[in-house]
Amino acid sequence: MSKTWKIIIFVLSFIIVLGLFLEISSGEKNKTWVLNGFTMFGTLLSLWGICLAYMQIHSVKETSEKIQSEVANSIKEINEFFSFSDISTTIERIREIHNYIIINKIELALLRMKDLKIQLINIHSNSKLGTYIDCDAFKLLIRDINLDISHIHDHLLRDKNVNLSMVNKHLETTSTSLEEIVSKIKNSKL
Amino acid sequence: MIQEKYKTIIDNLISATQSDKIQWGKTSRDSEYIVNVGQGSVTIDYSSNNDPFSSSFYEAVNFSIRNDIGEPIIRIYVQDEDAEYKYLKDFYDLVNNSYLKADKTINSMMDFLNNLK
Repeated sequence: MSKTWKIIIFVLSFIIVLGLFLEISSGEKNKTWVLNGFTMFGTLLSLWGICLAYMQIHSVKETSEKIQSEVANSIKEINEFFSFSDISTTIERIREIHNYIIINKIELALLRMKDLKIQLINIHSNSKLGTYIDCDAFKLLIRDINLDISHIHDHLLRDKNVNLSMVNKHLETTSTSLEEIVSKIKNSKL
Repeated sequence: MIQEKYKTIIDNLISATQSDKIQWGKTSRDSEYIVNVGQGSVTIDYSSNNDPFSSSFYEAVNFSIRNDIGEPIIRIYVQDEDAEYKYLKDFYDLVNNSYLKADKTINSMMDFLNNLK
Protein backbone atom coordinates (compact mmCIF):
# COMPACT_ATOMS: atom_id res chain seq x y z
CA MET A 1 0.00 0.00 0.00
CA SER A 2 1.39 3.42 -0.95
CA LYS A 3 2.05 6.20 1.57
CA THR A 4 -0.66 8.48 0.02
CA TRP A 5 -3.31 5.76 0.45
CA LYS A 6 -2.28 5.24 4.06
CA ILE A 7 -2.67 9.00 4.75
CA ILE A 8 -6.06 9.12 2.95
CA ILE A 9 -7.38 6.11 4.93
CA PHE A 10 -6.05 7.57 8.20
CA VAL A 11 -7.66 10.98 7.54
CA LEU A 12 -10.98 9.34 6.50
CA SER A 13 -11.07 7.09 9.58
CA PHE A 14 -10.17 10.12 11.75
CA ILE A 15 -13.05 12.11 10.23
CA ILE A 16 -15.47 9.16 10.75
CA VAL A 17 -14.40 8.77 14.41
CA LEU A 18 -14.58 12.55 14.88
CA GLY A 19 -18.10 12.54 13.39
CA LEU A 20 -19.14 9.67 15.66
CA PHE A 21 -17.64 11.46 18.63
CA LEU A 22 -19.47 14.71 17.87
CA GLU A 23 -22.70 12.79 17.36
CA ILE A 24 -22.37 10.93 20.69
CA SER A 25 -21.07 13.90 22.69
CA SER A 26 -23.72 16.40 21.42
CA GLY A 27 -26.43 14.79 23.64
CA GLU A 28 -24.18 14.43 26.72
CA LYS A 29 -24.78 16.88 29.56
CA ASN A 30 -22.09 15.73 31.95
CA LYS A 31 -18.38 15.44 31.25
CA THR A 32 -18.36 11.74 30.16
CA TRP A 33 -17.86 12.96 26.56
CA VAL A 34 -14.19 13.62 27.43
CA LEU A 35 -13.72 9.98 28.47
CA ASN A 36 -15.67 8.81 25.41
CA GLY A 37 -13.40 10.96 23.24
CA PHE A 38 -10.24 9.49 24.75
CA THR A 39 -11.64 5.95 24.36
CA MET A 40 -12.68 6.46 20.72
CA PHE A 41 -9.49 8.17 19.56
CA GLY A 42 -7.40 5.78 21.68
CA THR A 43 -9.10 2.79 19.99
CA LEU A 44 -8.59 4.40 16.55
CA LEU A 45 -4.88 4.98 17.22
CA SER A 46 -4.47 1.44 18.64
CA LEU A 47 -6.08 -0.05 15.51
CA TRP A 48 -3.82 2.08 13.38
CA GLY A 49 -0.81 0.97 15.37
CA ILE A 50 -1.73 -2.70 14.81
CA CYS A 51 -2.28 -2.05 11.08
CA LEU A 52 1.06 -0.24 10.75
CA ALA A 53 2.86 -3.04 12.62
CA TYR A 54 1.25 -5.64 10.34
CA MET A 55 2.21 -3.65 7.23
CA GLN A 56 5.74 -3.26 8.55
CA ILE A 57 6.07 -7.04 9.13
CA HIS A 58 4.63 -7.69 5.68
CA SER A 59 7.10 -5.27 4.12
CA VAL A 60 10.04 -6.90 5.98
CA LYS A 61 8.84 -10.32 4.74
CA GLU A 62 8.65 -9.04 1.15
CA THR A 63 12.14 -7.54 1.41
CA SER A 64 13.50 -10.78 2.85
CA GLU A 65 11.91 -12.82 0.00
CA LYS A 66 13.37 -10.38 -2.53
CA ILE A 67 16.83 -10.74 -0.96
CA GLN A 68 16.52 -14.55 -0.94
CA SER A 69 15.57 -14.54 -4.62
CA GLU A 70 18.52 -12.25 -5.45
CA VAL A 71 20.91 -14.50 -3.49
CA ALA A 72 19.55 -17.59 -5.32
CA ASN A 73 20.06 -15.84 -8.66
CA SER A 74 23.61 -14.88 -7.71
CA ILE A 75 24.40 -18.47 -6.65
CA LYS A 76 22.94 -19.73 -9.95
CA GLU A 77 25.10 -17.30 -11.91
CA ILE A 78 28.20 -18.27 -9.89
CA ASN A 79 27.48 -21.98 -10.48
CA GLU A 80 27.04 -21.35 -14.20
CA PHE A 81 30.30 -19.44 -14.22
CA PHE A 82 32.08 -22.33 -12.46
CA SER A 83 30.54 -24.91 -14.83
CA PHE A 84 31.75 -22.80 -17.72
CA SER A 85 35.21 -22.49 -16.20
CA ASP A 86 35.25 -26.29 -15.50
CA ILE A 87 34.79 -26.98 -19.21
CA SER A 88 37.51 -24.51 -20.18
CA THR A 89 39.90 -26.13 -17.66
CA THR A 90 39.04 -29.56 -19.10
CA ILE A 91 39.82 -28.38 -22.65
CA GLU A 92 43.15 -27.04 -21.38
CA ARG A 93 43.84 -30.41 -19.71
CA ILE A 94 43.24 -32.22 -23.01
CA ARG A 95 45.78 -29.91 -24.73
CA GLU A 96 48.23 -30.70 -21.92
CA ILE A 97 47.73 -34.48 -22.43
CA HIS A 98 48.22 -34.07 -26.20
CA ASN A 99 51.53 -32.36 -25.51
CA TYR A 100 52.67 -35.09 -23.10
CA ILE A 101 51.86 -37.75 -25.69
CA ILE A 102 53.75 -35.81 -28.40
CA ILE A 103 56.90 -35.60 -26.24
CA ASN A 104 56.39 -39.25 -25.20
CA LYS A 105 55.83 -38.54 -21.49
CA ILE A 106 53.24 -41.29 -21.21
CA GLU A 107 53.33 -41.53 -17.40
CA LEU A 108 52.42 -37.83 -17.08
CA ALA A 109 49.77 -38.21 -19.77
CA LEU A 110 48.25 -41.09 -17.77
CA LEU A 111 48.13 -38.99 -14.58
CA ARG A 112 46.42 -36.13 -16.42
CA MET A 113 44.02 -38.53 -18.13
CA LYS A 114 42.86 -39.79 -14.73
CA ASP A 115 42.13 -36.16 -13.77
CA LEU A 116 40.41 -35.67 -17.11
CA LYS A 117 38.13 -38.65 -16.44
CA ILE A 118 37.05 -37.17 -13.09
CA GLN A 119 36.45 -33.77 -14.71
CA LEU A 120 34.35 -35.35 -17.46
CA ILE A 121 32.27 -37.27 -14.90
CA ASN A 122 31.74 -34.01 -12.96
CA ILE A 123 30.64 -32.17 -16.10
CA HIS A 124 28.32 -35.04 -17.01
CA SER A 125 26.68 -35.05 -13.58
CA ASN A 126 26.38 -31.23 -13.38
CA SER A 127 22.63 -30.57 -13.58
CA LYS A 128 23.26 -26.96 -14.74
CA LEU A 129 24.90 -28.30 -17.90
CA GLY A 130 22.24 -30.95 -18.53
CA THR A 131 20.50 -28.91 -21.22
CA TYR A 132 23.71 -28.44 -23.19
CA ILE A 133 24.95 -32.06 -23.07
CA ASP A 134 23.90 -35.08 -25.10
CA CYS A 135 24.12 -37.53 -22.17
CA ASP A 136 24.50 -40.75 -24.20
CA ALA A 137 27.20 -39.31 -26.47
CA PHE A 138 29.02 -37.85 -23.46
CA LYS A 139 29.00 -41.23 -21.69
CA LEU A 140 30.68 -42.75 -24.76
CA LEU A 141 33.44 -40.13 -24.49
CA ILE A 142 33.97 -41.03 -20.82
CA ARG A 143 33.95 -44.73 -21.77
CA ASP A 144 36.63 -44.25 -24.44
CA ILE A 145 38.84 -42.18 -22.12
CA ASN A 146 38.35 -44.81 -19.39
CA LEU A 147 39.45 -47.60 -21.76
CA ASP A 148 42.42 -45.52 -22.95
CA ILE A 149 43.52 -45.07 -19.30
CA SER A 150 43.33 -48.82 -18.76
CA HIS A 151 45.29 -49.51 -21.98
CA ILE A 152 48.02 -46.96 -21.19
CA HIS A 153 48.24 -48.45 -17.70
CA ASP A 154 48.70 -51.96 -19.15
CA HIS A 155 51.24 -50.54 -21.60
CA LEU A 156 53.32 -49.07 -18.79
CA LEU A 157 53.06 -51.99 -16.39
CA ARG A 158 52.79 -55.04 -18.63
CA ASP A 159 54.26 -53.72 -21.87
CA LYS A 160 51.00 -54.29 -23.76
CA ASN A 161 50.46 -52.36 -26.96
CA VAL A 162 48.50 -49.11 -27.03
CA ASN A 163 47.53 -47.18 -30.12
CA LEU A 164 48.39 -43.59 -29.19
CA SER A 165 46.87 -42.27 -32.42
CA MET A 166 43.54 -43.71 -31.28
CA VAL A 167 44.03 -42.12 -27.83
CA ASN A 168 44.70 -38.78 -29.56
CA LYS A 169 41.58 -39.28 -31.68
CA HIS A 170 39.47 -39.87 -28.54
CA LEU A 171 40.98 -36.77 -26.90
CA GLU A 172 40.25 -34.72 -30.00
CA THR A 173 36.62 -35.94 -30.10
CA THR A 174 36.24 -35.09 -26.41
CA SER A 175 37.75 -31.64 -26.94
CA THR A 176 35.42 -30.97 -29.88
CA SER A 177 32.36 -32.00 -27.84
CA LEU A 178 33.43 -29.70 -24.99
CA GLU A 179 33.98 -26.80 -27.42
CA GLU A 180 30.46 -27.43 -28.74
CA ILE A 181 29.05 -27.24 -25.20
CA VAL A 182 30.92 -23.94 -24.59
CA SER A 183 29.57 -22.58 -27.85
CA LYS A 184 26.00 -23.63 -26.94
CA ILE A 185 26.31 -21.92 -23.53
CA LYS A 186 27.69 -18.74 -25.11
CA ASN A 187 24.91 -18.62 -27.70
CA SER A 188 22.21 -19.24 -25.12
CA LYS A 189 23.47 -16.22 -23.12
CA LEU A 190 23.18 -13.88 -26.10
CA MET B 1 33.85 -72.10 -16.65
CA ILE B 2 31.64 -69.48 -18.29
CA GLN B 3 28.33 -69.01 -16.50
CA GLU B 4 25.21 -69.87 -18.48
CA LYS B 5 23.85 -66.27 -18.54
CA TYR B 6 27.11 -64.92 -19.97
CA LYS B 7 27.19 -67.75 -22.49
CA THR B 8 23.69 -66.67 -23.60
CA ILE B 9 24.95 -63.09 -24.05
CA ILE B 10 27.94 -64.33 -26.07
CA ASP B 11 25.71 -66.59 -28.23
CA ASN B 12 23.40 -63.64 -28.94
CA LEU B 13 26.39 -61.46 -29.81
CA ILE B 14 27.67 -64.17 -32.16
CA SER B 15 24.37 -64.37 -34.03
CA ALA B 16 24.04 -60.54 -34.11
CA THR B 17 27.58 -60.26 -35.51
CA GLN B 18 26.95 -62.98 -38.09
CA SER B 19 23.81 -61.21 -39.30
CA ASP B 20 25.53 -57.77 -39.27
CA LYS B 21 23.03 -56.41 -36.74
CA ILE B 22 25.81 -54.91 -34.61
CA GLN B 23 28.87 -52.93 -35.65
CA TRP B 24 32.10 -53.56 -33.78
CA GLY B 25 34.66 -50.79 -33.37
CA LYS B 26 38.28 -50.65 -32.28
CA THR B 27 39.66 -49.38 -29.01
CA SER B 28 43.11 -47.90 -28.44
CA ARG B 29 44.47 -51.44 -28.08
CA ASP B 30 45.05 -52.72 -31.62
CA SER B 31 43.75 -56.21 -30.90
CA GLU B 32 40.65 -55.18 -28.95
CA TYR B 33 37.13 -54.64 -30.32
CA ILE B 34 34.16 -52.94 -28.70
CA VAL B 35 30.42 -52.80 -29.30
CA ASN B 36 27.62 -50.95 -27.50
CA VAL B 37 24.93 -53.20 -26.09
CA GLY B 38 22.03 -51.44 -24.35
CA GLN B 39 23.28 -49.30 -21.48
CA GLY B 40 26.73 -50.86 -21.52
CA SER B 41 29.33 -52.21 -23.87
CA VAL B 42 31.27 -55.38 -24.53
CA THR B 43 34.96 -55.70 -25.39
CA ILE B 44 36.89 -58.68 -26.70
CA ASP B 45 40.66 -58.87 -26.91
CA TYR B 46 43.17 -61.45 -28.06
CA SER B 47 46.70 -61.56 -26.75
CA SER B 48 49.72 -63.79 -26.98
CA ASN B 49 53.36 -63.50 -26.06
CA ASN B 50 55.54 -62.66 -29.00
CA ASP B 51 57.63 -65.78 -29.35
CA PRO B 52 55.66 -68.84 -30.55
CA PHE B 53 58.73 -71.05 -30.04
CA SER B 54 59.14 -70.06 -26.40
CA SER B 55 58.22 -72.58 -23.71
CA SER B 56 56.08 -69.92 -22.07
CA PHE B 57 54.12 -69.22 -25.23
CA TYR B 58 50.44 -68.64 -24.59
CA GLU B 59 47.39 -67.29 -26.33
CA ALA B 60 44.47 -65.77 -24.48
CA VAL B 61 41.12 -64.14 -25.11
CA ASN B 62 39.75 -61.54 -22.74
CA PHE B 63 35.99 -60.87 -22.90
CA SER B 64 34.57 -58.04 -20.77
CA ILE B 65 31.13 -56.66 -20.11
CA ARG B 66 31.35 -52.97 -19.20
CA ASN B 67 28.99 -50.43 -17.70
CA ASP B 68 27.92 -47.15 -19.34
CA ILE B 69 31.26 -45.41 -18.61
CA GLY B 70 33.44 -48.35 -19.61
CA GLU B 71 34.23 -49.82 -16.21
CA PRO B 72 34.43 -53.63 -16.40
CA ILE B 73 31.62 -55.46 -14.62
CA ILE B 74 32.42 -58.98 -15.80
CA ARG B 75 35.74 -60.19 -17.12
CA ILE B 76 36.19 -63.60 -18.70
CA TYR B 77 39.81 -64.48 -19.37
CA VAL B 78 40.63 -67.78 -21.04
CA GLN B 79 44.02 -69.16 -22.07
CA ASP B 80 44.70 -71.73 -24.79
CA GLU B 81 44.75 -74.53 -22.23
CA ASP B 82 41.20 -73.71 -21.01
CA ALA B 83 38.16 -75.63 -22.28
CA GLU B 84 36.32 -72.49 -23.45
CA TYR B 85 39.30 -71.05 -25.29
CA LYS B 86 38.25 -72.31 -28.72
CA TYR B 87 34.70 -71.02 -28.25
CA LEU B 88 35.91 -67.48 -27.41
CA LYS B 89 38.73 -67.52 -29.98
CA ASP B 90 36.20 -68.42 -32.71
CA PHE B 91 34.05 -65.53 -31.49
CA TYR B 92 37.08 -63.21 -31.57
CA ASP B 93 37.91 -64.31 -35.14
CA LEU B 94 34.30 -63.69 -36.16
CA VAL B 95 34.44 -60.18 -34.66
CA ASN B 96 37.78 -59.54 -36.34
CA ASN B 97 36.36 -60.62 -39.72
CA SER B 98 33.24 -58.58 -39.17
CA TYR B 99 35.29 -55.43 -38.36
CA LEU B 100 37.67 -55.91 -41.28
CA LYS B 101 34.76 -56.97 -43.53
CA ALA B 102 37.11 -59.78 -44.59
CA ASP B 103 34.50 -62.24 -45.89
CA LYS B 104 32.55 -59.54 -47.74
CA THR B 105 35.69 -58.20 -49.38
CA ILE B 106 36.91 -61.63 -50.47
CA ASN B 107 33.46 -62.64 -51.76
CA SER B 108 33.12 -59.41 -53.75
CA MET B 109 36.61 -59.96 -55.20
CA MET B 110 35.68 -63.50 -56.22
CA ASP B 111 32.44 -62.29 -57.79
CA PHE B 112 34.33 -59.58 -59.66
CA LEU B 113 36.97 -62.04 -60.91
CA ASN B 114 34.32 -64.59 -61.89
CA ASN B 115 32.51 -61.92 -63.92
CA LEU B 116 35.73 -61.23 -65.82
CA LYS B 117 35.81 -64.80 -67.16
